[in-house]
Amino acid sequence: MSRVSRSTGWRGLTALVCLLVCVTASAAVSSGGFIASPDGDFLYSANLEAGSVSRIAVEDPDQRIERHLGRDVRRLALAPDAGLLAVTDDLAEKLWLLDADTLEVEKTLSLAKKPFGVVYDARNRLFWVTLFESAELVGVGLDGKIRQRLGTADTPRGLALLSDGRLLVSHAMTGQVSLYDTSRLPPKRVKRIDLAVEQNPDESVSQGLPRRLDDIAVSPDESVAWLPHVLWNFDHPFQFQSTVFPAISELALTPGKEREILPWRKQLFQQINLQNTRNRTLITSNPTDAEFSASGKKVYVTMAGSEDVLVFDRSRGVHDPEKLGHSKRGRGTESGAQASQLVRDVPGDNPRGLVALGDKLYVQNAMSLDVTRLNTGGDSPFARVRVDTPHWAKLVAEDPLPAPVRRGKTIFNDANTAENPDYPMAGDFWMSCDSCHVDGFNFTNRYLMAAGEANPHGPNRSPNTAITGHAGLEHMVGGDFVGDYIRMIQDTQGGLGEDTRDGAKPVDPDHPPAVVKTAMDDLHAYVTRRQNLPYVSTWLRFDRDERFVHPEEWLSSASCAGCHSTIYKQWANSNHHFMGASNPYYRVVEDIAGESEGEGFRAWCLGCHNPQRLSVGKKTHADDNRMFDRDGQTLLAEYRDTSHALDEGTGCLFCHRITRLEDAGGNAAFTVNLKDRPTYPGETSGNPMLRWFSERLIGAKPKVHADSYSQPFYDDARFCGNCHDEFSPGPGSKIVGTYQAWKTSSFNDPARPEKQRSCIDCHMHGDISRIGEPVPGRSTDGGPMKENMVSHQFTGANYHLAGLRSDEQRRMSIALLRTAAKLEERLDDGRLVVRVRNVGAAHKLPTGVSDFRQLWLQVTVTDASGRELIHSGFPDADGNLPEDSRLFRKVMGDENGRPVKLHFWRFARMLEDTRIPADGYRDEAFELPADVEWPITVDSKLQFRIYPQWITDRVQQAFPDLPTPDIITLNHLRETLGAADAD
Amino acid sequence: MTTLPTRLTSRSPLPEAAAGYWWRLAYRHRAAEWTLYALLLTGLPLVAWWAADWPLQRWSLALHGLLGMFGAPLVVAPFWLAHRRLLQTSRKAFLRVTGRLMEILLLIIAVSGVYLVGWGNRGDTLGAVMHWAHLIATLTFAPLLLRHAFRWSVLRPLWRRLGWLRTTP
Repeated sequence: MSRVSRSTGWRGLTALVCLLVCVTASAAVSSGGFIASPDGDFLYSANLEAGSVSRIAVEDPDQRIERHLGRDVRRLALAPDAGLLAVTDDLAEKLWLLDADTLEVEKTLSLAKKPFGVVYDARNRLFWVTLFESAELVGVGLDGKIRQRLGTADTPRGLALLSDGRLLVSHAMTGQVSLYDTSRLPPKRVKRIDLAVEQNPDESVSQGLPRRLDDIAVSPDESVAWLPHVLWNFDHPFQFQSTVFPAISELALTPGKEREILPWRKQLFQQINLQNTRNRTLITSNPTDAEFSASGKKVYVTMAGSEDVLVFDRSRGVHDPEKLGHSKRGRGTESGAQASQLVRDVPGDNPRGLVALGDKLYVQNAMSLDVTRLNTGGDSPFARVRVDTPHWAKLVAEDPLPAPVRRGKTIFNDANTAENPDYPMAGDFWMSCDSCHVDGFNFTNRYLMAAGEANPHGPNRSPNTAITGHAGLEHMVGGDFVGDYIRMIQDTQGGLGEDTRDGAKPVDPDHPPAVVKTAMDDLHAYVTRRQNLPYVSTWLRFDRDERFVHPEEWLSSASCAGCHSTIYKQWANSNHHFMGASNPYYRVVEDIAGESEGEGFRAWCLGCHNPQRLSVGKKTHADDNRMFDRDGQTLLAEYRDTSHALDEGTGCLFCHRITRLEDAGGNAAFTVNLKDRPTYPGETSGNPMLRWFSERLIGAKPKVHADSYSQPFYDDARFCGNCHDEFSPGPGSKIVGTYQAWKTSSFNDPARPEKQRSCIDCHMHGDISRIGEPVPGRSTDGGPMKENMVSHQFTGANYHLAGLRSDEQRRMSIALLRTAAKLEERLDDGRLVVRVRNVGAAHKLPTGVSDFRQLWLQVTVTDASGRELIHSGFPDADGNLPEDSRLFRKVMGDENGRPVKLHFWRFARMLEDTRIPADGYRDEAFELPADVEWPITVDSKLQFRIYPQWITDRVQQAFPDLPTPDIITLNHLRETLGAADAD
Repeated sequence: MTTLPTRLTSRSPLPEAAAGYWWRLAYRHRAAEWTLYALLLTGLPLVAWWAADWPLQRWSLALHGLLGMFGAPLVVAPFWLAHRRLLQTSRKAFLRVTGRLMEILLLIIAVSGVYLVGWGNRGDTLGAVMHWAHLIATLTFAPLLLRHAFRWSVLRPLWRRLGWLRTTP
């Protein structure tokens, strides 16, 4: 009895000491997905796409409470003084405040866009939450109301709050850490630290852009912070063991002297002196979460890809950043903590969260949704961590994800070569898909593309290389996803038989074994999730669980004509309407895409050109060609019988029900919401009487109707940019960069409103001769006269196809083209120089698929004797331009350097780029003969043709009634140069 | 069997039966009153101030529209036109005054309602005026109607239950 009492007493004392240690250690708090209660009695887990939160008793893991909340629960924070648990969900875009004991929901707050990190600030009684996509930091009171809101640098994600009120915010996709002072509200940003970008000509040396900074671990004495991350090195074609490197950066936290300690950065690739039994240096991947031991002598790091726990020993050497450089023991001891052990192949899939309680280490496995318990063996330098209890606790009772999706997501995150030695997803534990595609496929794609396109430090980057992603794809992913997934895994990750050192079997991408085929099908099930790429090749998605929309959810654009007749007519004749089946050029190219890459690849085209057909599961363009149909008469006639139609192009409902832009770099990266559209009774009926009645109701109460078709981003160039930027899916080559060019032009200058021109200011302007001035008009019949009515003619360069239906649109198109450029002529050292200056286009000239646009100089020079000296740019009798014509264009080449011609998605190398940038010019020089008789008469014309003759010839074979496009003279200058009295 | 006053029948241009119907209609308020209350009840969720859920609003709007298009002209208007005689000749000043006010308001509601359904609030000033006129006139009309018809109302059972009405008129 007395022994029991003594035992109980000791346990109580131990618990008290533990509690004191925990309290001391938790002076700083960090955002995490797996946390412990202050007394260490309970663990709380954010169960990611299982959509739930779990509370597990440490003493008895079977005592689990699970609360299902949303779609992708990411981070948790406890407010012990209020008994609340805050939970973020980046897909449901909510913050929940739960009772920490019962997990009952107390408050729910909607937080767009992508709430991620959360910490509790006891001083201010606020939860700080990072909004990853909208780049904001919000302070939420215990009552669930937003008390503070401020903008941050891009992609804030991790959070750590120090005891003195300094708040560290990691910027996951830009490699930065911001420091805010929260000791007074509103918080003030005091510093931003850019993590170092290192580069090396040797591609196998760890280097690149710090990315994927999800979590911040702060040492118990708050002297340093550890940030696990990866380094992206995309300055060369992707290849195994050279493109992504794992690393951990350390920050010194001395107040006022916060900085990165670069010598202490852990370059984990081949630089941790840990070897396997075959004397190969151990490779790990995707460092995710770090946790200090209570004494601060050890740091444990989960490697989510290779599925390891890495142990660092801080008991030796210099660990006070302020003593750095003063050590007499040499550089070796100044390199910071050393990796002392790698706990390889931790039971469970995808270890992420970590909690250290006493000598126990709890590892949250994000894919197998369980917890593995490790025993740290203590803090001594000789202590060895070992697996104590595999699968110690289940996190969820039932995984709500369908089994193939869960398996696919596990593959997406998997770089554990040992788990499937025959067919590993990565060679040598190297990397997973998730190393680059953070959280799948979403707006972070633009950072991937930026890292490839504009790596300012990349010594290995060829200026002509267009590919920023996966090279060597046979079917552009969408055409045959199984084969191309395998190719990507082999070439980039060294998986599926590429790296055979650990016994992997070879895999032929075109004839994979059944087990690999099944795995790729599973991977595809995850890739096509609603938040990823439901249609694979395009980034278009719908705000719903189902992949396809019922055709009757679409309304004919003719249904809008009753009240918006002017706009309907404008749109109906425009190229935004007839850009699918009624655009013969498009049809020919889409057919080529389907035939050459596989039918599935047509989705890439359809995403912008005919999204409504794609959304209902149609795989190709329609068959009926209405290229001569004026004012949308056919659509109006059809509307008499039915209110539903899969409008060609981008119809009213499509554009006006886009509810979210992602700016992933183009390719229709927006979300369309049809399911929540408020409909009026009778609106979708086939009965004309009921539709008439519904129109009366809309008129009587129009606000709901108007609000449901209005978004704040219509004047945001990103709206247009999502289709007017275009990249090849997989290789990531930027095929069209109109929005990108505008973004860097002088026309994008919000600080100077008189200069600022967004897309709609020119292309949706009702009077081309008065661009910059408002054009009054009525968008609703009988409605108010608006100061400026936004025209829906979408005036662009394609005068030809719009002109088949509307003379006015042809005239407007040509008028707009004529505002773009100016000509100048001069003599320079015996040569004639014609300068073409881009004065009106806020993008390159020409833009779009500029291989297909012909802009060139037609020059005639005659001397005083009447002899013709130069005769350039005159088409031959068949309409083709001579080879030596001075064209302003880009010529895209494939991976072998051959012009891609109509297969433009195969763009891999820029062969020629003579386009004229916004605000820029291009000089074309013509040699003059030595015996010229001065003066000379120079006649220069800037000519434009929407399609080259060879393309029209090809299209006319399929569509003989297609007229041949005219050549348009945009500018004409005739001057006499070299006269005696000339300057 | 009701015997019509000789003076009325002899002066009315209508056939005797129609004149009798018209005479009696002035007192047959139940259908008109129910229609007005239905219009009021279906109109209330449409008021933006309390932002009712759209599924409720859309059906309210449809019912309100149908009642406005058919119930108002077929039920309320004939009753009111017949009832005006009583309003003008009532010995009670309260009924005369409230009656006059109500018919002005009813006219505003009717005109603005026809405008909103027929032409629509298309975002211009006139549309906004009609919208507000319809709303404000209705919110003024409703309490007047309740008070004006208090003693004869179809809602008498409710008033009794609430203890507001103790005697049968």
